[in-house]
Amino acid sequence: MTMSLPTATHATVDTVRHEFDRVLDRLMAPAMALSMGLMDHMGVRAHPAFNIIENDDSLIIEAELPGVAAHNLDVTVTDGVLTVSGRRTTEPLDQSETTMLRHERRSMTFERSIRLPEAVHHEGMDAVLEDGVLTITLAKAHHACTRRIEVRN
Amino acid sequence: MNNTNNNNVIDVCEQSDCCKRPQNYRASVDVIESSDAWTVVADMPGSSSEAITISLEDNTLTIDAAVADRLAAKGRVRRQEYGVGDFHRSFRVGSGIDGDAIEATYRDGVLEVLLPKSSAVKGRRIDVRTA
Repeated sequence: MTMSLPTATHATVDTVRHEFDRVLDRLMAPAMALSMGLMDHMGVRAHPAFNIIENDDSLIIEAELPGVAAHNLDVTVTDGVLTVSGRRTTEPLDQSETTMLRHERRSMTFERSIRLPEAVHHEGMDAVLEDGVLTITLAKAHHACTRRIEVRN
Repeated sequence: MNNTNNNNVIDVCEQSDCCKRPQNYRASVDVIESSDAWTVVADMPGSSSEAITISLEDNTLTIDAAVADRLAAKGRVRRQEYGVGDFHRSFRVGSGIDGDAIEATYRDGVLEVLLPKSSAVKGRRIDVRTA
């Protein structure tokens, strides 16, 4: 009757270990995603790095997204918050025919939102994905709205 | 791992002499082997097909992608979270690659290099006939 006890104990230990791993994964995942950028593990949402450039007329936000097709990419600006999201699927492999000797490029979903450092004009937005580089150009609101007001005598 | 006498090998160079180029960025790669070729897939955003150099010399396959400094051309950098510069990666390879038949394509910032196996290392299937 007590024969099943060792098995049960093993199962419990395994369950606890599994649960512990899961908690650890969950705690580590955001930090990993941030530090690894695009080099993220499948299933974890990655946060692409941005470069922000400005000139007199516009704010330019740039991200490296190699292998991402434009139709898998979404760019929105809402209430001064820019969000870039999408997914990348790396080449599907016929596993019976090929062997992955080295695997550093991951399939992933990614999303990142940033508050824009200044107001932008919603009419003057442009996003281009070229050679794996996303360039979002936003017209600065102060520039777009500047109007000359005649001073009367 | 370092045995380049083995025809049937392709190894990523890490800190060896062949890739001491600290000014360059290390491209992420996949290396895939099939029965008749190896394929190296590398993330090299912001380059162009004209600016990519692939060479096979002394059992070393080298991939360089020049990237123009596009930040300065656009304006003042307000926040920089990643650097923009050339990508580099190298591999120790055996002599089992048919060097004349190497092909490469660059699309969406991803370089794909097809390295066909020379006939010497290709697995050959021998049909067994009934007597």
